[in-house]
Amino acid sequence: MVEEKVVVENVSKRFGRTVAVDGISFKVMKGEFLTLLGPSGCGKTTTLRLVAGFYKPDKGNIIIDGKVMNDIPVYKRNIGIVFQNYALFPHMTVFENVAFGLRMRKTPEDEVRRRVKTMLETVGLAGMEERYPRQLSGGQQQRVALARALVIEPDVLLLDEPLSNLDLKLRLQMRKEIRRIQKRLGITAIYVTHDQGEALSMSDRVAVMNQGKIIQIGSPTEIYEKPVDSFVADFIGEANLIDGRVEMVEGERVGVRVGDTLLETTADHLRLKKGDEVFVVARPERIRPSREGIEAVVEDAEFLGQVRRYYLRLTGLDATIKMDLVNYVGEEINVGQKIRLNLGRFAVVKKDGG
Amino acid sequence: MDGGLILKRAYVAAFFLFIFFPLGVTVLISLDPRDYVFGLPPSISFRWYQSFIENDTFVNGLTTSLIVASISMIISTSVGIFASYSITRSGKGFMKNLGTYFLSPLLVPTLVTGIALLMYLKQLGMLNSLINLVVGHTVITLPYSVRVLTAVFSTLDPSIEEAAMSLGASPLKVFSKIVLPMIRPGLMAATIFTFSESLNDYAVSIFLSDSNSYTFSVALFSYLKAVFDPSIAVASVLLMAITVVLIYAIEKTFGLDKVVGMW
Amino acid sequence: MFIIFLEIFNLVPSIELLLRRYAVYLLVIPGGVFLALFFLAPLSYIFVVSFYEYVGLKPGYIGGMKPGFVLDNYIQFFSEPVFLNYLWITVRIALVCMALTLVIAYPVAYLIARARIGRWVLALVMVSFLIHPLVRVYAWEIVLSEFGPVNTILEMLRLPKISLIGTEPAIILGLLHFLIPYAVLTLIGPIRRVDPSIEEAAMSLGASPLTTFFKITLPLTSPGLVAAALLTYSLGVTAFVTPLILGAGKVVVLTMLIFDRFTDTVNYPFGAAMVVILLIIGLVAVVLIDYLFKVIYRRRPVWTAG
Ligand SMILES: Nc1ncnc2c1ncn2[C@@H]1O[C@H](COP(=O)(O)OP(=O)(O)OP(=O)(O)O)[C@@H](O)[C@H]1O
Ligand SMILES: [Mg+2]
Repeated sequence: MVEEKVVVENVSKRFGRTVAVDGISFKVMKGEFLTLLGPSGCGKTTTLRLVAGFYKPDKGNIIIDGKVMNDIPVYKRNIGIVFQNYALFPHMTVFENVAFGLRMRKTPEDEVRRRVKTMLETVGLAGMEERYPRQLSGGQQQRVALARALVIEPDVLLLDEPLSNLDLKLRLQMRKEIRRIQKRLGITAIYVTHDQGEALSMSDRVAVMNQGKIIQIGSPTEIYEKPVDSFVADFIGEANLIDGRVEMVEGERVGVRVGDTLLETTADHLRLKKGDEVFVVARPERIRPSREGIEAVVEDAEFLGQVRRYYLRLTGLDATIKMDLVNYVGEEINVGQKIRLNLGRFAVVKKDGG
Repeated sequence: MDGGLILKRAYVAAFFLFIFFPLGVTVLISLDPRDYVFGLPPSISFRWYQSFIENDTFVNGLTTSLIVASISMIISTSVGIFASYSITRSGKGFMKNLGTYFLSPLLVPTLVTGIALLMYLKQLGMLNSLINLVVGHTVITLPYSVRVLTAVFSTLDPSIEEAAMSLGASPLKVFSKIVLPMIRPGLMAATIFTFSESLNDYAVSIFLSDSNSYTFSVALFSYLKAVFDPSIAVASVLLMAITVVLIYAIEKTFGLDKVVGMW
Repeated sequence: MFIIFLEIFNLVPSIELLLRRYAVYLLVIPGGVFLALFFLAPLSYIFVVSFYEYVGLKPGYIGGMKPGFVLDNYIQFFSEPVFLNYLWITVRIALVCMALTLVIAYPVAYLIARARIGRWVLALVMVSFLIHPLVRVYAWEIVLSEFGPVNTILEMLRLPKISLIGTEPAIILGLLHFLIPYAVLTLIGPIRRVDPSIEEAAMSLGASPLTTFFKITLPLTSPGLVAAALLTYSLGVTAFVTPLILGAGKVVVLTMLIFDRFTDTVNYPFGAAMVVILLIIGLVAVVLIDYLFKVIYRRRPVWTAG
């Protein structure tokens, strides 16, 4: 049976006039890796700090292992936190940093030594025990922070943009590392980021936030393939939003008219009706030149390394869309040329307020 | 070396000459066997050092000064730690203004502070001059410790304390195991600041001393007003030595660079 | 009774919660209360006393003061030309000191801030700043004395001797000895914060070093300069031992009158009134100088900058 490890129930938090978190609810299952994703200022950090216990919710409940935690201070919850800037204790060695939480729990000293040693091996820092934080590289400091949070065997691991201070290469490597360790220890994790690549590649589920609310929560594929609205569609990956109108609904099948073309897709989660104004969400990398389909004029072309990007003006519509071609071997496409397009697999979202 | 550079160095050198020439003369006087000033000393003698040590007024004053400076230093830094921590960590409008409140004794000349305390304490019937001196010195040194310590606390990353808390440390533990060790150098600087400020004070001391307890400054002051006596030069040399030691201590613990602009 | 006890017991967790939440605010209380009791209260008291009546030294009247509200002390001060003259001397000395200090200290601070000189220079400045005020006074008393080094040197150069003790220049010299290091330390920070590349940019655009200094460096450091000016002025006005010893009783300033009213010719109400006057002439100048700089450089007043 899958346990509910963390339950956030209709929680709100305001700072003066700013409503940082606005009545959000979600559950994190035992061993699950949930990511809070959203633009800057949308309330991710606040949500995480509410779970951690740095803030008390104005409304709603934070429940961990079935217990309401609202009035339990941070240090009496059993929570591991990895901070953006690591927040290592500068006056303690790596060993002392990692041992700190265990010592606060009055763990016998030989057990402290054993567990710190194992944990340092797990994060790949064996032999660095006596170093001070300032003698470590960014990536190593990151690992110490992780080890320090994990060694206490927390109920939940909270990570707030832990990779944003690392360079790109290290970032990619640490994504895998964190995920590997989290899976291996079977720990429940809530991860905050505004980097959608990170969110999509690491998480079991992603919660997309905007303006203090959770807009959509689901697996990375779901979020990518079936965005619930244009915000999610636009925020996750590259997307062309093309105006359309629903012309036909038959069970799961939906027909959308774009210009003078009728496109068909499945959209079971939106409860669309005939006549709804919608956006067709077409991913640039899925659009292909084709013998039939929507007509467009090539306005501009850009070379981006492996990808060639075309800006296409849709005939009869006031819209320019992007098309990315990788290793394209078909006919040459020139600026000014008229071509037809196959949008590939696409999604449909209702227009805002609809 | 171009002319401009020489000129610049000469200017700075002239400044230091202006400052240190009179002090050098004082050192020479302290070593002069004669009891009047006239040209260079004919020979070196420690006669005035002898008479300084045998002078009860100086010795009593010095003892009192060390006691008063130590106690007010301890009170100022410990009270200052809590206040500065609170001011930097709560960071809201009202609390920010409290920072100014704690620095306000700096705006008032110590002579005025001394007079005000004299009248006030008399009115309250507080007549123990040693306690009064400690109170007065705490008033004038507290702002210095608050100033140094708020600067120190504001460089501390609050997420380090949060990390400790998330690992199970209670607020008290966070303070003793994380905050205190991290601010140790700043704490040293604060103690040195307050100690030296207390030692250098004469204005508050003059009004709060009596024949039971008087500080070194007050002893020196009474001699200075009275007759010419080269044992004052010896007292000066001693004070200069203390200053040098304190500055050396700041450099070793905190770094002089960081202290510029804090005093 | 027992029920009440239980009620209180029930409250304990919420009290604990409350304490935890506001603990960080409670920490200011010891220091805050201490300053209220032993700084604000005495200071307010002196203000009140300045309106008390002087009844002469009689038993039962500490400092010869009788509670009341009279303006006698202020009227006495402002109606007697002697006092006004002393006030003018006090302000004059402070202003001269301020001007000289800024002119001398700014280049020193600039050179120290810009030339990456070693720590020992900073240490020397620090020593010069922290030397005990009485040590300075004593040193200048010797240096300027009749057979002291200044006159010895003048004699060797076959120049006439001078006797400065008991004159304003002696007091000013003594004060500069303290004020210049003070100003240097105040100015180093602001000057360091000016990025040298800004000056270089100005010069690359055709500004001579002098123009660069007046158009770029000086305006950018003006808040520091104002701060230094205010500090030196107020330290000058409130100086006490230096004028007392180096003035040798021949030059009288306000602080000496005040000191006298609280020690020898005991008259607390009049002394308190002069204390208030001393604080006001300090503040008035602070506002004035700051306003001047604000007009020149169009920036907000220093005191709002904190
Ligand atoms: N301690 C605080 N006091 C006042 N306002 C705050 C505080 N913390 C957050 N806010 C406000 O609440 C909103 C949400 O902030 P939060 O830090 O949760 O955003 P975030 O999603 O983590 O953003 P980022 O990606 O930039 O870290 C913002 O408008 C922010 O200004
Ligand atoms: Mg954040």
